[in-house]
Amino acid sequence: MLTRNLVLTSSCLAALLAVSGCASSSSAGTQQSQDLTLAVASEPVGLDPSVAANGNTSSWFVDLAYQSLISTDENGGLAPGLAEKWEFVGGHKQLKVTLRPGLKFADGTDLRAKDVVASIEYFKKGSGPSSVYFKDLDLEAASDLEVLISSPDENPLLPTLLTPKYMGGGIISPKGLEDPDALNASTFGAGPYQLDAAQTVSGDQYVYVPNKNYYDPEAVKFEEVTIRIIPNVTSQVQALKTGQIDLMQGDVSVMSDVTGESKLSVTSSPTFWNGLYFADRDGKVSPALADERVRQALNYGIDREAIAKAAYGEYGSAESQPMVPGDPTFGYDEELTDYYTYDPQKARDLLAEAGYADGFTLSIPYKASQAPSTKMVQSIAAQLEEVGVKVTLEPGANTGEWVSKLVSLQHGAFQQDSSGRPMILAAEMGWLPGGVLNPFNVKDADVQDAYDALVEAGEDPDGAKAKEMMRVLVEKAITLPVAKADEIFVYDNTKLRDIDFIGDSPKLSYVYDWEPANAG
Amino acid sequence: MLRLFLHRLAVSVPLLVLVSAVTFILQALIPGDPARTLLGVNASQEQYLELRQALNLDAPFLTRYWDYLSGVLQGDLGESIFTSIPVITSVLQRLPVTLTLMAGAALLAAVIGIALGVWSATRGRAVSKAVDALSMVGFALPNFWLGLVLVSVFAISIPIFPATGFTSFEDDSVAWLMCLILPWAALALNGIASIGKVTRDSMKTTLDMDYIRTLRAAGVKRRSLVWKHALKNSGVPVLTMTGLTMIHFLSGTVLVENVFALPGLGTLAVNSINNHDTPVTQGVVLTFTVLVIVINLAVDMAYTVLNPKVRLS
Repeated sequence: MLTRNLVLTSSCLAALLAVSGCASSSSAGTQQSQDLTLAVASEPVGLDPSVAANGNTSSWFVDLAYQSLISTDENGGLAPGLAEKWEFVGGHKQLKVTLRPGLKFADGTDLRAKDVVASIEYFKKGSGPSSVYFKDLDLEAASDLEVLISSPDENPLLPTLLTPKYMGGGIISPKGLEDPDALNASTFGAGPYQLDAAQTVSGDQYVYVPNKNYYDPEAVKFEEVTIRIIPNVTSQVQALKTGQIDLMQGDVSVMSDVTGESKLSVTSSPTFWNGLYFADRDGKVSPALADERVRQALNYGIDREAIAKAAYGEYGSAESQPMVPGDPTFGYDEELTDYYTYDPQKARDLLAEAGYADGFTLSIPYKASQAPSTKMVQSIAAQLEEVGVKVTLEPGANTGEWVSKLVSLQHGAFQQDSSGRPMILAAEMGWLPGGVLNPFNVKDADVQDAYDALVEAGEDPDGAKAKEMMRVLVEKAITLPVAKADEIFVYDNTKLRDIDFIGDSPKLSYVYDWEPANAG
Repeated sequence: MLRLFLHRLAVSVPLLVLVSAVTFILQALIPGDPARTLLGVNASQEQYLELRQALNLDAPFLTRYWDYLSGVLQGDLGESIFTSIPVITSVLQRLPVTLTLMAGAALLAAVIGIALGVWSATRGRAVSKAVDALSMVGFALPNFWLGLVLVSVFAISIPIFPATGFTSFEDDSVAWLMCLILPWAALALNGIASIGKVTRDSMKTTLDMDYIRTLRAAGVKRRSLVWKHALKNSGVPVLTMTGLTMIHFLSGTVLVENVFALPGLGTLAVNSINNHDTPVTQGVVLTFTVLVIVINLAVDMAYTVLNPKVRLS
């Protein structure tokens, strides 16, 4: 009797297994040749370009399906995308963009100038990291293939905004715009690939197949591109080693596991700086921060080299300016890298000079989900305590909590990791009134003057004006940069041909430009 | 048995309501704002306020809960705040993976645990002590750590099994089995230890009983004595532990799915909590609660099979 029951129970469980297995979808398995499989740690905020994040990995979800008006070449220069040419019309307030003839969206409908206008008008209202740069632009379809993009102020970066990095140039079809909710579940672009909804499992894997209506079929290198969500970075390394994925974003903690594997190659480049923004430079909640000497003192009070090493190992280095190396428009100045040396005595002297010999208290929200950022702020707190500044750390367990603390206007400074970008855009975001990283809306006359001079100069090919602005930011200690750090990518060199960063920029080459290792 | 089933069903409804209320409260207490998480730092104040209104976040707590509960009672679990995908769709898409993981691990834990328990109860003290030691190891090892070690050994060093991912049975039955063996092993070890220990203790008690001595004296074969007579009468605590183990596996699936990148409810739960995606979190918690109810019901039903004297009073 018992044996029969045991057999019955086991059989029921086994049947349950088989039935469960039948009903579910696949997200693993061996790869076909000419397929590409990438891994990321978290699912995308959304597939809608107007809300999607534009980081090196988060942009993959959009880049594959939405071709930008203007692309970039391997050196970071501008190159034709959906637009075959573009030119400023009188100064830098209006850009005329001419589309290639014969373009089609993935659904087969024609792509015309009016579609570009509609798409960017929709993008302007989004909450993505780049929508803010488009909000003041006016658009007009001058003809079937010509679009006029106008800015109220001189804006020499208009063409740059239309590149993939800033998302807005990735054109969404009218069908996608009719139902914006659908933009998060599918793709409606004119890029080399399109999302295969049948194989896609939200939060697990996103599968892209070639777009048969893409204008340059030769440029479509893979039969299928899959982006898998593998939250655990150690699991990603294991998947890479066993050939289940072709490329992953590395992490300092796993690099020792990767080094020495002949089939794995590593590429890295400084892509972001991490540190503090002094948000309350008007001194509303932290009166001390209104004094430039206090901010400079805080900059002198920390040992950047030690903190960078602790947080990022060999993939980070000390940095005194709020930027990373890139093209000249970034304004990165090597002479400013070590501007603030570690000098606790100088920090105390400056504080005393400013009337804060007894120190003061400062609360700092930070992104607790980022291990390096947590290490960094804890080190900052310990070192500033030694010069008399008591730091209260406010962990933001998730993005929502961190943002809530930021906009609460109760904290004089906050931790933020910022990617490299042209100085004009960085200033608009972080240091001018109305910038999203300037919650107290502080206006600094010197910073404003430097920005105005930069904009007035128009094109700044050697970055001289951008560097001038950078010097103002550093000397006035608008921020407390600590380190610039690399993003690290590890890939299977038997599957992929050399993956690298674009020129001197912090931007990884675009996923749709990658080639199989055995490509002719 | 029908009365038992109806009684359990009647008790389950208020339990589900209570669990949904507690989850709703806990979600509300998580620091941060779903609208802020969704929009990030780049949104304007107008966009933020507009989204809060669209998500009904400005409504009083009780109003929001009632709106949610009345939807659930009509079979509508809402939509993901991020993807707009109906929660029921996401849950049904991922439920089979989690069930497969749980059921397989439970089968493994039950078969090996019972076998080990019987073996250690019928052999000498040395074997019993060895099983005790193994049980302690099983209890101590975290399943996610064990998972990583198993992958390192059996997917990388000796490449037999895949490191991550899931293949459905209908796509490739062999690949399906191969991709589950390591996750099953990682999840089941703790259960093997628990079930083995309870089986051993229960068997020892039963084997000391008079009727076993009588059967032995009557010449009943040892195998029949152990597997047919003693094990059956030791079954109730073993069944209880098996049920508890399966429930314990529910929480274990969260970590194991993370390590093996399995598209189950565990990873859905983690993602939705991190993203403050309340409707999805609620949907997953309710599903887990239903699973616990079903497992408990199945255990109760199984009691009546093992021991006909067990009835609802």
